[in-house]
Amino acid sequence: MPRNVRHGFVLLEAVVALLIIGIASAAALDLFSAHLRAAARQPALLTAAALAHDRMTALRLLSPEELRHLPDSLKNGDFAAPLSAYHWRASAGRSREESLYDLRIDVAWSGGSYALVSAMSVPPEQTVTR
Amino acid sequence: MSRRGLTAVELVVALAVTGLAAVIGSATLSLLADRRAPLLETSSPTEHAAAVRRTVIGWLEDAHGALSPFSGSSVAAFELLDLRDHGRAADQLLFTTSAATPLGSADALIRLYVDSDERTPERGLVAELSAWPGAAVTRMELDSTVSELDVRCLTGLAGSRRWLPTFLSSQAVPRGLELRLRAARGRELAPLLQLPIRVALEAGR
Repeated sequence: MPRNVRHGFVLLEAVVALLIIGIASAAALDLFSAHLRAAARQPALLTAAALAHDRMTALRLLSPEELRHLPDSLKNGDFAAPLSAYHWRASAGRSREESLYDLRIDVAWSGGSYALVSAMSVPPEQTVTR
Repeated sequence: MSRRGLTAVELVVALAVTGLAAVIGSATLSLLADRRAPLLETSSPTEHAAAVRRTVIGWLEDAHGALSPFSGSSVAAFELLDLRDHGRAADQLLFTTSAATPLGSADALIRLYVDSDERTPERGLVAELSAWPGAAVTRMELDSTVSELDVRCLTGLAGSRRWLPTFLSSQAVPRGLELRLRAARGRELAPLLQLPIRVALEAGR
């Protein structure tokens, strides 16, 4: 029998090669699923950001008097259909700075939440000095 | 040393196993890809609606009462007209803004209205931009499903805060604005456009 000089792959080499391919494809799949998760979250986040901005504007349009004593209808609620899946909460409090108000909006839905923080200058309460 | 290579049978079996794994993997991948398609479909109208809101709010927030040096004295700096067209609200807003527009970063005159004119290519909510009164206009179709525009403005003149359907001034801008959009019968606006667009004007404070 002639001496066999045509070496093929050893089983170990083939296993290692398959392992490398397997790890590489698992990493690619994981990246893809991460992209999918991000894509699924994006419309909800965009919507929540727009809704939070809307509530913030509602606060900015208030008179200083209303801002000091926020009406209940502006403290929290659900958005009207078709955006009823989103719930909002608003708060306005006097900042450490004189005549500055801290405004905060929280929008929450089943998949997450979004917060918007801002400040607004409000003329101090008028006191009659005479 | 008995380093023997794989026989053909072993190699074929190994390839068959790999092939099977690849088939299962690609089937899972296509299942994921199918789930992806509707996601992107819903994401795109949301993106569009959010962009329309951002654009309109950005322009109006920076609306100001100062007339551009090119304008004649007959032009109002801020104009909200309460109009109706075939029973539908067809309000018009005309204002000068210092916000960045497709025309550039200089002041722009913007007319916001609902275009129901069959002869123009634009439909729905349209913005007409010009660098000064009488200059060439650039039209931008913001959303083609809009068929009604109903605007009211918050004025804080003399301490009395009121929502009014019209506003006309050569110097002042209102404190706030609320734009309500409605779609034509049988069509539906994107959810974000069904929510009124509220704006607090910087110059109106």
